[in-house]
Amino acid sequence: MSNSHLFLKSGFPRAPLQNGLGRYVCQLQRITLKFCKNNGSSKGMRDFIENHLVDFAKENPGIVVYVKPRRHRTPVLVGEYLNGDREWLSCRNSTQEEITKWVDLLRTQNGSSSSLRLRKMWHTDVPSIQGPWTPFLLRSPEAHGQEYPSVEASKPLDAPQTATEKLIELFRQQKQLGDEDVLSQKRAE
Amino acid sequence: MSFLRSVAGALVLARPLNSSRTVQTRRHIKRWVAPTLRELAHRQQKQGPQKPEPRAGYVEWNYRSELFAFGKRLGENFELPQLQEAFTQRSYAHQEEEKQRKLGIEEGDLKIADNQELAKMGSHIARAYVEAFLKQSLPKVPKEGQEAIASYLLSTETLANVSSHLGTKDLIFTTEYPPSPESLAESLQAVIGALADSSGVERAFLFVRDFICTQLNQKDLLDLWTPKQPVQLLEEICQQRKLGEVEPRLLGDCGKNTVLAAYHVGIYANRQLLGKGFGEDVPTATETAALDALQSLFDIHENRRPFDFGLQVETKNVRLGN
Amino acid sequence: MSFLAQTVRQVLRQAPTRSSALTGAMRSLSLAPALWQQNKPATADAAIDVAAIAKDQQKECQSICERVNQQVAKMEQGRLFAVVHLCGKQFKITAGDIILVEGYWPPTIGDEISLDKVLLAGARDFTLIGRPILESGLVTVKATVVEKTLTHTKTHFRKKRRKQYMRINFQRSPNTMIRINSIELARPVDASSEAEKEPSRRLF
Repeated sequence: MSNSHLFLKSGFPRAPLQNGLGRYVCQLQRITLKFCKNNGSSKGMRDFIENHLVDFAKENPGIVVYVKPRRHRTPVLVGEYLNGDREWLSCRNSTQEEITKWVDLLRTQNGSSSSLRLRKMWHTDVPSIQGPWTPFLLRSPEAHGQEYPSVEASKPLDAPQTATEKLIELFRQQKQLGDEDVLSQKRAE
Repeated sequence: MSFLRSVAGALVLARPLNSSRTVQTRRHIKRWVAPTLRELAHRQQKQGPQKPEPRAGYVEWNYRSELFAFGKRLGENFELPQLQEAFTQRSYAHQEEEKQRKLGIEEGDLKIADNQELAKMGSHIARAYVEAFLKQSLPKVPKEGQEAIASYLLSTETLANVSSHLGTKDLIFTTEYPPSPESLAESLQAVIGALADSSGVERAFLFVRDFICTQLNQKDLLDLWTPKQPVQLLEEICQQRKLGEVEPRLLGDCGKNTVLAAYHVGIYANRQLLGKGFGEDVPTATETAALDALQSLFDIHENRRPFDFGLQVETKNVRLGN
Repeated sequence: MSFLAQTVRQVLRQAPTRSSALTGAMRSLSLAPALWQQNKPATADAAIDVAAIAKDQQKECQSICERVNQQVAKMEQGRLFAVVHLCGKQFKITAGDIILVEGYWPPTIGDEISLDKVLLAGARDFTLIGRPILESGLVTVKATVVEKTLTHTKTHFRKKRRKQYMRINFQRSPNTMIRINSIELARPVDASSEAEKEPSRRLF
């Protein structure tokens, strides 16, 4: 089992040089295709160079394409980026289609992606527009002149009625009722 | 001779018989590989850290196509000789001339164009455009604030950062590698100058907007320019604009006489709240409140209208006159 | 055993009442009876009250909208933020932000797109809340696709103990980085339109 990504360098999403704000700049600077002219493992690379490379170079004039034949070694793709990153990819025994996909990946990314674990999917420098909350926000005007310690302010807001208070209230009610009853009885008399 | 041959034949025949007893699989990575690599690594370590190799020294390097791709990448049409001139530093030109003189080449052929002229022109264009851009997008900021922000945008570090992210690092002809921030910044200015020469000043303005002005994106402008003595400045401005007497008032406090004391001060003028701020004591809170008031007066708050980088600054507003 | 029988008898005896209680419960759960159980039509004076309250609310709503429109017309609204729905996730964004979309997503680098599903848009002094999304065309959010790449290699490892079962897979999924260019209020906020209009049907 491999848990190597736990120790991978981690970071946050950034785009180099505020890319995409003014005009978009493709970040792949140059790509080098290394291959062998007669080894079987380079067959896909040779096919790619024969069929697709010229179109690729025409479509992306901003990318310098180098082709480097070398004897009896595996085919390799090397992409160099504007931020100085260098991505190396082995294409041993890959087919033409696979290489097309890898080249496309190299073209569309901003730097070598495999070496960074992203910790967030969002980046901003202005996290709050309506302002952060503070304890002073929307405070009642009465709270300004409050002197502490104060008995009034230190009471809980939702203190329930105690049993004693309930009894006293009941007693008072009864007493009132009783008085009224007595009065009404007297009037009736 | 035939005897010798027959002996050799016998030996060849005998070998499979011997080896058939111990079956040996083919070893893919040879025995010598690991110790050799180890030795190489050891030597490398002994030499210590090396200077980075210039990319131009590689076999796969074509300066002409690199120059062509540089222009195409940025979506601009450069004239290649001019672009090459923009990347030639003066020190490099001098060095080359010295070399040629030593070889005994005549004075007439020695002249190598360097980027001093172009850099001068480029820096002029960049300064003019950045100032016009700031004037249009930060109309309420006073002159000194605009100057501070412009000087940040046109500082060597910012320009060098922009330049290296446009891929000039490998294209510059200098005596040192990697190129110093100064030469990176200078070559970027020269590129702007070359662009103005080959495609017109308007394209150069757009280039400055898209690559230099965008560095202001989501930047806290207070980091770039903080007014010193904000309370005094606020008083002056209130007098100028006739907003009334500046009057700080305590809006709230908590934790008095503790380490974690916090004071909330609001600044009023003519019964209008201008700004409020926090601090661990009243003077600090007053200062932050004054800064807050200044920010809202100058419209440089964090929640101000974001910069519009599609902005078209009219050419007549850019003061190029020299 | 006798105890069990007794309980059964008791249950049987109570069965008719139980069943009625059950149907009652069912009625309260089912939808159709709930419609019949609606409150009786309010009396005349109550209706007048409701209308007055609604009018008051409408007036207040209109005045708020007017103030928002005035602020926007004077370009004093400051920085806008929005909550957009994109590929099954919601992002709180403002101009100049970077967000990442995980998984396969067709747009390629350099594409300029506009994010239409705006759930909420706000500025320093006001917030427009969609139900669930704001009307199309009220807020325009423009963005540029900056990068399409793969994540780092994630390991997917399974093992069952004592079963001689072990699998290890490696995967990298696509990621797309998007830069938000601008968020703008395209037209003035209207108090009445949203209440009357039915939301247009969206296919996706």
